[in-house]
Amino acid sequence: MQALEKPTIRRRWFPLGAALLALLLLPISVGQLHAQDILTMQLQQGFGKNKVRYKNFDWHIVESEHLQLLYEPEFEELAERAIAYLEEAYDHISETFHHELSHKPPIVIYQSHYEFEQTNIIHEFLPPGVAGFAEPLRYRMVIPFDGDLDEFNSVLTHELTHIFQYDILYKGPIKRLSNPLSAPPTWIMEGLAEYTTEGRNTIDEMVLRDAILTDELIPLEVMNMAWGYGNVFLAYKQSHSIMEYIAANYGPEKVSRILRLWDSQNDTDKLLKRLIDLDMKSLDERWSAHMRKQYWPLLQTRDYLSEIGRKVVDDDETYSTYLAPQWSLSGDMLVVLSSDGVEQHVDIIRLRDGSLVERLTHGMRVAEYDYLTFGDGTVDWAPDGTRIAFVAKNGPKDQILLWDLYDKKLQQSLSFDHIELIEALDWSPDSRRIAFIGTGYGQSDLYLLDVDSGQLQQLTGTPQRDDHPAWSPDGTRIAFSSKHRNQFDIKIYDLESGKVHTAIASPTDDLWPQWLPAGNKLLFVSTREKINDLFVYHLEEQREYRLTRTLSGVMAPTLSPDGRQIVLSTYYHGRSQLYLMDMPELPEIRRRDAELLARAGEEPALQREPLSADRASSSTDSLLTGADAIDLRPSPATQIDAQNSPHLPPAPLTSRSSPSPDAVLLADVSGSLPLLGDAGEEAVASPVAGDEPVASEPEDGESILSQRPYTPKLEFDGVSVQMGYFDGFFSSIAQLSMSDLLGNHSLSLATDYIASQEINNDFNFALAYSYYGQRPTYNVSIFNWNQFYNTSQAIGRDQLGRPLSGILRSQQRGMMANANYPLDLYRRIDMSYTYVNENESLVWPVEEEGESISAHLFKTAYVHDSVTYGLLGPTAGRGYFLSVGRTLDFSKSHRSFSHLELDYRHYLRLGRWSVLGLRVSGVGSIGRNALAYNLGGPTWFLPFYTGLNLNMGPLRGYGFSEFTGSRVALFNAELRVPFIRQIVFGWPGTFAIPAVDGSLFFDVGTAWDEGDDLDFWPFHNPYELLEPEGQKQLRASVGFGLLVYFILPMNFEFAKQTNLQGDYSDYKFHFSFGQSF
Amino acid sequence: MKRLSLLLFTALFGLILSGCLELIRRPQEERGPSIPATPVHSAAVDNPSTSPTLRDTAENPSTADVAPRSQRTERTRKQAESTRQVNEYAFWCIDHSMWNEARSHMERGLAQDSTSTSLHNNLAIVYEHFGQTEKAIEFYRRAGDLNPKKERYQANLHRLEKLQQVVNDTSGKIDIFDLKRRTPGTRRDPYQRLKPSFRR
Repeated sequence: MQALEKPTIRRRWFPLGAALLALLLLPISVGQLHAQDILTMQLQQGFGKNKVRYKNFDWHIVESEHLQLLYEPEFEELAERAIAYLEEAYDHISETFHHELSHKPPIVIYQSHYEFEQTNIIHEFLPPGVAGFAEPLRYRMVIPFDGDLDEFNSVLTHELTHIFQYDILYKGPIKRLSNPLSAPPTWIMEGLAEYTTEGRNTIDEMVLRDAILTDELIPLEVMNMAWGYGNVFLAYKQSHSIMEYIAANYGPEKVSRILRLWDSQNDTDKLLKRLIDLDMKSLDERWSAHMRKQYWPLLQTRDYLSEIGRKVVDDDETYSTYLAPQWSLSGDMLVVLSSDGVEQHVDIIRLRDGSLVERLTHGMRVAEYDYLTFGDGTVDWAPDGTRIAFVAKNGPKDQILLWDLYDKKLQQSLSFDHIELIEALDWSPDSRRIAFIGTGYGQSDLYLLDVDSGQLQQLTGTPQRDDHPAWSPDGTRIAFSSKHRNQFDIKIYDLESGKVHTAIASPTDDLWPQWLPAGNKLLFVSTREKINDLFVYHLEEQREYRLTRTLSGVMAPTLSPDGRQIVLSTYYHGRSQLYLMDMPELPEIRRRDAELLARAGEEPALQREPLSADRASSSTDSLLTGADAIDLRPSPATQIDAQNSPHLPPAPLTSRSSPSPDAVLLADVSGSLPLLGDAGEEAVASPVAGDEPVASEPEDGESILSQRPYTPKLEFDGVSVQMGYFDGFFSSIAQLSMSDLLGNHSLSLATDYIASQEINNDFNFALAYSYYGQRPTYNVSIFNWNQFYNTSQAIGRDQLGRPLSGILRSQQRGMMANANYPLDLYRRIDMSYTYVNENESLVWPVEEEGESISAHLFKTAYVHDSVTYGLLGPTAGRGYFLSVGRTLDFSKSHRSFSHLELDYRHYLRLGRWSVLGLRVSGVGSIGRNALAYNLGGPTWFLPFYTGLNLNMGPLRGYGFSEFTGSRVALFNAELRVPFIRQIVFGWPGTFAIPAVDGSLFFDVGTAWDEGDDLDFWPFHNPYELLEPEGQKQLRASVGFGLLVYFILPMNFEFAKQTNLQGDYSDYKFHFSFGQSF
Repeated sequence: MKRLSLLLFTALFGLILSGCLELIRRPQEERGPSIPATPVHSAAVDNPSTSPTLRDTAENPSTADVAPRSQRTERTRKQAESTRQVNEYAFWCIDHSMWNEARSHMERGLAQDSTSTSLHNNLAIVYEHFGQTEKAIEFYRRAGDLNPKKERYQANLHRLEKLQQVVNDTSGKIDIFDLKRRTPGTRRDPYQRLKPSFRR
């Protein structure tokens, strides 16, 4: 009890050191100042989503000449490809930067994004948009395979470039640790990484072109902010383009020198001045002018989509996105994936005006899946109109969910062993089967699902990417895009014979095939002139016809059931939008093709025939006779088998010096396009081409590189030292953390050396070990931590008769053990045991041993958090926890209390950004040594010191922690409305404030002790005195605030106490950091 | 007393039995078991303009006739449930002003159960909405033929035939105001006017 009653004690040394320590030692956080803080910190329950470790990984390491790769044997082929790609990329980047890495960087690859999400190298949640990362401290790279080897290669190259950058910039441990302060702007880092990753695809082009033509380029001076809260994708593409501009106009050597110059300049303007004799603004102007000259002439020969179609959803909201449209039975409606910038849904919309008819996924998140798979082709409407299939991630992999339109509910969910990613759904014409692209074992292939029986059939087994399956109207064939030699062709799979033949193989990517109702023509998208446009290929005539010449480009066209209309996606004004256009009959198609060719001044002979005459002929023969057709069905070795994953040798390596798209065009037009035989090679054996580099493919099929199982070995993550002097005390805190390469094991040690004139040296320590290698995570820590306080209690008097104060030492020793078991992304069970022995003694001017008291605390909690967060606070969803704790009372020297806490929060969206937050919480500590909780003021949030005060707030309008009691009840309601989104200031310096919200709130609550009488009504009158002893009234307040995000959330709030009966106090102002509740 | 008990027991048993029979019979009423199927078949076959789906489903009743009684009951229940679902969905579409979608699903429903009187009637209303009067009259007539006891079907048919006469009448003999009086609730929108006549 003594330790709890210290009204006369004042803190002697500033808390920041301990606060920093607490931060660094998270999650053990032992930097609290007395035992109650340690116990209550353990009782304080946090929210947060979970990183669920669904799989026990079996890691192996292979070392090549320049790097070491961590992989699992079940996708060994992918690892071999990765080594080949990386070594090739290494040579290229090394040549570009004239630099060799100082040591072999460890590179971790995962066979899918969902396994990548389980990495412990960083503990933050990795959303689907993250394609990989490289971290500067230990030069680790972590990359998932997303189903496309070329994309995989690009991401590997991009991230390896970052490793080179770190090695050039951060030589030595001091620079590494301080890198956030000395890093070049993100646009330089990312621009260089994109620059070394050669080639821009047409989607990249589409985004950049759109920004140029709609005058929405990001000014270079504020581009860094785009990475925080702007159009990140555009920022990447612009950065890339600027690097290309510098290389083209000032020489590639300039690009190579950027990082080395940064080492001496450390200022972007000075760097550019010295590099190319331009400051940032001038470079931006010149580059913008260059890009406009390049793209604006397109206006002469190309159409806006609004000229040839109409927008389906006339929604001017900047953050609205619509994807993957699919038609209903009659064509009255579309099912689409929609996003409003906060939530993603599957929606049925009217074709007529784009209005929402039905939201299929309303309330479905958490209950049915973790999150929607938000990509092209992940939703499809059955041709009989009765069911809609869509894809969502549930647990470790995707599942197909079938929504019954008649019953208006989910009918079925289907998931498959060893298929983690599901994309590109297409129902068969009889609505009984679904073709889709599945990715597993580091390979993506075409699958066929019988919906009623759940039987799955793998149709293709090529290592290269397949995509966009489309059933023929008679249900006998499936057209699909298939990558071959870094380029998509359109192939047709004959279901009866199992043969595949190439139908369309133009010099560019041919994507998204759609059958016209007659079954003799294919509508598809081709990337001619680097812009996605619509074409029609007549299978009988073996001719193609251009249907559009658009400015913005098109994606994912889908034909109406009667084949007379097309809905397609485009990227316009910075977001994906849907357009509707007519599908003409053949005579009109021919006329339009001729007109478009004439307009562009093209030579018909060059553009009209994607295939050479011989090639087209052989293609048709194979279709008719099957003689030359390829069997792409999986060989026995590629059948789905848990014990035997598909085993295919690596694909031919892509030459780093591969010709530009233009060069490919010339070569292909001249007749050297891959013939059917080429495709056969790809499908059956995928041999490594003799003229291309091979990194790790030995003659006998065994890898020549040494492999070994991964053994965890702790290495230093970092060391930090802080020193401080305050009120006569000197404190030196050192923190050291270690972890293994995969982040599964983590060890932290913190020490604090305290000395003063009065006391002897004192040594504190806290040691924590955490294990994240399995689904339940564990943490154990031991600590011996002393705190010193001045006491105003007179120890004696000095020579002048003034009272002498003494120094108390509060010593806490003990251990904590925590275990967390995540049930899924949103729910978990936490358990903990804490032992604390506390002793308080006088250490100066005389030593006097005090009384010891101990506590054995057990706690368990159930946590649910499905809240979506914005910059200033929650924007949607629900979170709650129930926490129960109990101490073991072995003797009178042990603390004895029980703890019960409930916190429920619900966030209702009112419009796009406005949100009404409701919170009910209550906590009670019952027993002989009940803990005391505080209430009043804002929830004071110092980011460096979470456990300073047990404030259960906010109860605004009152003093900070004005009320104390062993029981607290609180209700909060807060309406938050957006005021500003992204405002850029030009002075002083260029900076942005991304969000400012206004708030109106109402708080009511109180704190009381056992035995107090609680009056629920009326609320306490602000003009009345305190309640009589033993009586407690509820305290209420109303107010408004301004919530500003600038570097971190800041809250400026004004509140009045009230009894809701017309009595209001004066305004009380609160300033606090942190997100609203 | 015993006699009274026996009488009561017999009456109760009779009631239970009749209730069971009612349950068994109910789905069959949907396809109108007492109505000869000939008019539907002949209409489908005779009229080539009728959707092909009707010709396809003409085989269904004969298949049902030869099936064992238990199977037949089960099958008709499924059909009734399916028809109910199609109708519900069609109403939902119409509530959202998507008549085309409603038509497509009802036509598809009739392809699976060509003897559904409610689908015939409701589809006729949708055809009427689209101005396809001849087709609407034909479907009202089929609905009436399949279940002559349903006065609504006949009323719908007579009303539309009258309206058609008004449209075709050049003599002025038909009192349009009288017609309106006899069809209370008449509004411009045929769906609104005929909504009460929808049958699930």
